[in-house]
Amino acid sequence: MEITVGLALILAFVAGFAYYARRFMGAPFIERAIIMAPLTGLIMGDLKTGLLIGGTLELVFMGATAIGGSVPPNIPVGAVIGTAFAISAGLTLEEALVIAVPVALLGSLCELLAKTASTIFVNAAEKYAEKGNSRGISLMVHLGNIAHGLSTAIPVFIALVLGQDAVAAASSALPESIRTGITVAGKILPALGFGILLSTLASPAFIPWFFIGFAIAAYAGWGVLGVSFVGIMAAAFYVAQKGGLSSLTSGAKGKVDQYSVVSKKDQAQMFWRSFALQSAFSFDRMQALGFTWTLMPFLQKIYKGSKEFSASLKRHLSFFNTNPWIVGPIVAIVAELESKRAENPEEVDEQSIQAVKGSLMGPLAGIGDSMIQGTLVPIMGGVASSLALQGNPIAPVLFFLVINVAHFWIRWNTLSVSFKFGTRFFEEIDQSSMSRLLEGATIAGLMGIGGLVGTWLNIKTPVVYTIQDASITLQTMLDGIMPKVLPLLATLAVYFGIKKGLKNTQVLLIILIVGGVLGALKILG
Amino acid sequence: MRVVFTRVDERLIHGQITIGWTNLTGTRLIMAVNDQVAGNSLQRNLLKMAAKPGVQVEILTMEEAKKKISEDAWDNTPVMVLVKNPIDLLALIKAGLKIGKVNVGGVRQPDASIVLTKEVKATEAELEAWKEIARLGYTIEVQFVPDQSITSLNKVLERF
Repeated sequence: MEITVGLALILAFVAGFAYYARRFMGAPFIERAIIMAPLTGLIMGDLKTGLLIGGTLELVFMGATAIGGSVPPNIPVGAVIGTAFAISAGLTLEEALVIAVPVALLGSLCELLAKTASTIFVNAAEKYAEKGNSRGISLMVHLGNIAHGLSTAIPVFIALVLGQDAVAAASSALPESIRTGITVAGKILPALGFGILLSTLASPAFIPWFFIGFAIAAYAGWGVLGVSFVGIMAAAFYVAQKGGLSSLTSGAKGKVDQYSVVSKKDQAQMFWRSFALQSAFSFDRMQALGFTWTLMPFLQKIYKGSKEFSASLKRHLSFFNTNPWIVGPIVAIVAELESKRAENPEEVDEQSIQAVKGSLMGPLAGIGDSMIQGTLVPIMGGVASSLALQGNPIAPVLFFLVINVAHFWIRWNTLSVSFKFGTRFFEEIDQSSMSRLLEGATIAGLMGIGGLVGTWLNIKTPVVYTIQDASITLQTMLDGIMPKVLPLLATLAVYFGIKKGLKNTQVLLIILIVGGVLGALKILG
Repeated sequence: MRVVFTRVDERLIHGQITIGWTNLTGTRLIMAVNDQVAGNSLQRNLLKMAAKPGVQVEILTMEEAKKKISEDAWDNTPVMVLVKNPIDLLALIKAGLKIGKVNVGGVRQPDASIVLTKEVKATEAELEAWKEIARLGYTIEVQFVPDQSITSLNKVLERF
């Protein structure tokens, strides 16, 4: 199938929109490969290829998420380009991966560019803030977000239009041995994702859970869903043994609601606007513009005089960064403080508002990043991937729904509970329950990764020894000792490489070279 | 005290620390030093929740931290030291804290006007502290997460 200019435009729009949504729609994780690749497949009339590439690519990038303003691989660029070329040039799954992964890593330059460009919009917004011009600020929010979307859409468009002939020519001209090499490298690639995730998720005490998950999958062949089920039960058992979760929020229960000076209508408005927190994300001030935009109509309402309004905008345009889903508590507490300040400037000074923001944003980012980007997204990604790899079209839908139901629930509850109880909720939340919850999630997550390694990583050796007429297949011998031992070794190799300080790109290069050579020599295949 | 990782970061414990550095450095105990944070029960509680489960978190005032350093506390436990600014770090070093390289995250006080890198700004006093730390021979590296490339602050400081 040929990629026409029209088709390239549509696909570029899809990739760009995914990035735009990350900025303006509350980080719904639609830019993940498990959604982007099947969507590309659907548009090009080959959903099955999309599902296979999406499932595998999701595993490769399992551990790669944006934390704290760092720039992750650009997954939509890789997933859309990889899938589109796979369908247009009839590439194999592995060949598509070998294109998609480096492209995604290169694609992080797009975000770098957008974040740099956005500093201009934030600076302009500051000028508008001085005049109390809320329209101007809104305009900068939208321009910044469009810039972020275009930074992904334009490279996708150019690559699709200019690249397809080269890809088709290259794929037909490649000699057999290089093709086998690419295939083997492609099969090893998911080990990159498993190894990265292992290095972030596994503290030494929890590592055995990874091996338990692996063993259930490798020896008993239970599959990822079976292993995940056992993992969740193991986590529940562990949490119960350690004392359960009942005391998690006991501190805040049974107390009279704090009277919130912020009306329900204003609360709802802040909830919806808080989806735009990552708007015009810039290097120097990150979520400052998005946070300002979230509170802007409320500030305009309470500070009737334009001078105070302008001052409040300016103070919120200073550096801000927290987890995009769990900004609610900060919004709520700042709104309360601002409305008190509007009534009596003597009671609440500027510094104390800044201090609250500064003191809450770091810890909330830590809690949110490790629960959401570090645990929920990879676990759901793993489950959805294993469905996608079986060709089940429900996979991307399930991923989207579970993630975003959790998204709405967390965003709404953290906001509304903070309007009710103020900071008291966080002062009285029971830490040991909280860490038990995270420990349980870590156990389930590690077992899930073990299950994925033992199920979906397909590294084998075709080596056959002949000793006195009897031929021994090395793989059969290995299987007799430990099935899937090569996938396990590959994952552990990546894990130790990263622990020793190798960067993801370096590990990727090593996999491509080692896999390519061993494949071409027919040692792996 | 066995320090395995030292970081200057205005947000102390957050996602980059939890997901990025804790396991990679084998940290079992985080010593976060800041007078204001240590005196605020809300912030203390939140920071403890933000750390990885199984990692002990000690949030100390400067005085308490100096005491821990002089006692050579926590035997052989791998410790991560976190401070909000270079002034606090310099004070700890002068109190006898033994560290290797210095890692730097986001550091930008609202009133900091000297731009060192995209993510690191300094006040006059902070700049002096950075220079002093560099003069004492420490390697200072700006790197948010392990997978990011390193910007040498030592080199940047040569220009000031």
